Amino acid sequence: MASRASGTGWFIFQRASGVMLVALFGLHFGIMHFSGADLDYATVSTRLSGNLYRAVDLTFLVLALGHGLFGAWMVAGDYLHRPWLRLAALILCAGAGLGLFLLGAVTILGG
Amino acid sequence: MAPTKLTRYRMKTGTWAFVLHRLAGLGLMAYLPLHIYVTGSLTRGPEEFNSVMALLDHPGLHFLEWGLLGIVLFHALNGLRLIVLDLGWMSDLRGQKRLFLALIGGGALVWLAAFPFFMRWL
Repeated sequence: MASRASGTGWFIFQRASGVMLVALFGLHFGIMHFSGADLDYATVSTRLSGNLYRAVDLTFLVLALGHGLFGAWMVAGDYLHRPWLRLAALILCAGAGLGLFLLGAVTILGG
Repeated sequence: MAPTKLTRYRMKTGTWAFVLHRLAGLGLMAYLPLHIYVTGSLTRGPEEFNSVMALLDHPGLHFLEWGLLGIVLFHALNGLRLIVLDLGWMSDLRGQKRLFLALIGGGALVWLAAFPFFMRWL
């Protein structure tokens, strides 16, 4: 696929996920810091029991991890020139992404 | 004086924006695992979560959180600027500089206005 070879798909993903993350950050900061809601177990777990909120939070988690780790891997790729080091960075980013997704998903779905 | 990597480049607005965008992104990526880990205390029950939240309810940490908002705002607004430029809008040098200054100025206003909310004064 041409987009895979040229990186166009990832380029578009970074742009599209970035725009969505701006909206999700606005929502997140709005709820956490401007709504005046308490930050205690009862309030947060009640909020997380709603399916819409869970879906939004899972989307936020996936996009933030994807955007952040792909960005970090791109930065690493500018400085790491040996193939094995680039592969190590890719494995590190993918592993961190998977681990953090699982940790975040357990909190969102089981919190 | 022998040129260094920094002096060899012409450090103009776009170059600074590029460097700061990367640093902000890496900073946010370093913070994200910590945020996910701390929020994970929710799965360990009310006592654990409430005690972690009580620990984090400190003016110094609220101030750092406000600093985090500044990093998010810069990264987000500069990212939107890059998309505008990718689309070929305001692509002349004067337009680029104006867009950068307008976004940074607007972001700075939002950031300053958010200060009392983050410090829990409002």
